[in-house]
Amino acid sequence: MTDAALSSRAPRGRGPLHRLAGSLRLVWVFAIWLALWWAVVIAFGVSKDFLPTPLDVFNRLVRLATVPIGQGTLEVHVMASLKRFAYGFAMAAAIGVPLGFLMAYFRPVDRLVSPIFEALRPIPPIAWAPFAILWFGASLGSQAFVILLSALPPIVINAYLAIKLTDRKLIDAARVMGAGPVRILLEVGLPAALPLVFAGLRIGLATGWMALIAAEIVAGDGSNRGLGYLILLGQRTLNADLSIAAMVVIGVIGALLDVALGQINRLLMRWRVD
Amino acid sequence: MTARLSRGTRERIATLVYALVAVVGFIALWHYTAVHYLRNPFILPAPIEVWNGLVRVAGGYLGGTLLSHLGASLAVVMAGYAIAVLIGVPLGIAMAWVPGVNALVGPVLMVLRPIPPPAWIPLAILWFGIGMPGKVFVITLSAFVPCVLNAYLAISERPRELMNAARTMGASNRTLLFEVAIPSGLPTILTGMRIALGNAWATVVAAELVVATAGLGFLILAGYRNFEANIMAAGMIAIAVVGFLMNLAFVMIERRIVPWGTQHD
Repeated sequence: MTDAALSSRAPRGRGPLHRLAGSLRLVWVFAIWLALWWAVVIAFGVSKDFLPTPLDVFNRLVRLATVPIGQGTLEVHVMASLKRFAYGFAMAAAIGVPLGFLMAYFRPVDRLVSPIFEALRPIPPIAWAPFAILWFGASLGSQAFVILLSALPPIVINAYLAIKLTDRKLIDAARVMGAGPVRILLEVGLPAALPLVFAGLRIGLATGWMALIAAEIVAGDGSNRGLGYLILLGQRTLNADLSIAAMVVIGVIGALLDVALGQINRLLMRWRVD
Repeated sequence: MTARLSRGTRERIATLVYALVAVVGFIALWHYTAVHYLRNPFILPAPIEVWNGLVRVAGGYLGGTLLSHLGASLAVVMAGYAIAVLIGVPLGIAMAWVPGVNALVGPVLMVLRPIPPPAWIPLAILWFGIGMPGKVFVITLSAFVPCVLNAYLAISERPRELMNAARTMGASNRTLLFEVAIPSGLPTILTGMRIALGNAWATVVAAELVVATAGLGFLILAGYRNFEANIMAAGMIAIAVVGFLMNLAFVMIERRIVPWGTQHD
């Protein structure tokens, strides 16, 4: 929803010329901001350790990709972060979707789980990090746990709503035509629920990715790898360019993950007309 | 025979009973696991120990009472949040009202949005040191994006028929903005401000876990360093209660200001 909001002013679906003009304008705007950043650094003679120029950051990115730092090159750190994220997010999806469905189908489950869920939800996931370290050690386990906790609520809530908001008319129509309960669930209930379930996964992806970086910064002391570690290393060694380069990578991957899930969503939901 | 209860009342009672069973069962399970199974207060403190921890912290722990730690966290959140709202909401409105502003600022927002606020913590330390300004900076960033986005959304999706009606009656551009577009978008703007407050509260905890000398996040970290897990849990409970109350207060204010259309999650 918010993605559409930001890009709604950009020409869309109005022919390649319009789209080209739109992206050219985007390039211009970015050039203006980068120039402004650069001008500030030069005009005030800011130290490179404090605020590097865009070129410094770019050079650092190139160096990161080729020269090992910590436990390896950029690839190693990206893969380490992605692995933690994949573990946490996969667990959140594997627990969250069935739990949401169960809560929507069975009243007692809903009434038993909801109070606990609502009581724990106001605790920011990152506040669990110290306990996560006690329970799983300052490594993969604790970070995956924090990601799991932060991705879980949107996934559960959307899976729950997806079943609750299924159009009764669809189910009644299938029943009239002689479909049994299993067939109704598999061929009517699940497909109808899919868009909302997916929306939940998408929100969970975004919150999980945010939590990963927080977890790596707070609970990352055990390992010398990951994008959060790179940011922290940049601060500790007074290399702001390293921190900023890592943040750029984090932003790009976060955006790519969102786009990828959006594409899968579109592929799965091709049959939908709305 | 007792008086017959309506269906709604019975439902509500059932929900309440289930909730009671769930909460009591949860605490019982927690107690059993901690006391009879794990038997390690540093891995999992028993509920009663957490309560004792809360009482101890309330009386004073590491140079501050619970209230003073709460005050430290709240001061940072309120400062950063105020800056975010004061800059973010007008900026979002301007982006939706003046196309040039959106063309200029929109792309920057697109770049900044996917960067998680806690990722700014190390840079904030580098730029502002480990004191309050650095934390305020991070909190501002975390609250800024929802403020801008929702204000932008609220104004760019203003109802055309209201706008046209007002224009037909000779409303000036200024009147259109301040008396039609902004009031009609107010529920969405307020929702953004509520999300921003939640973000800010979660982010201050992250910031205080990294570097702080006071605050509720610091309390958790202090408990961790002193091998007192019950203090950690007490800090988490305090954070949850305050976060919950802040959200509740905001919802109530929202209902007061815009009784006609409040969005809930």
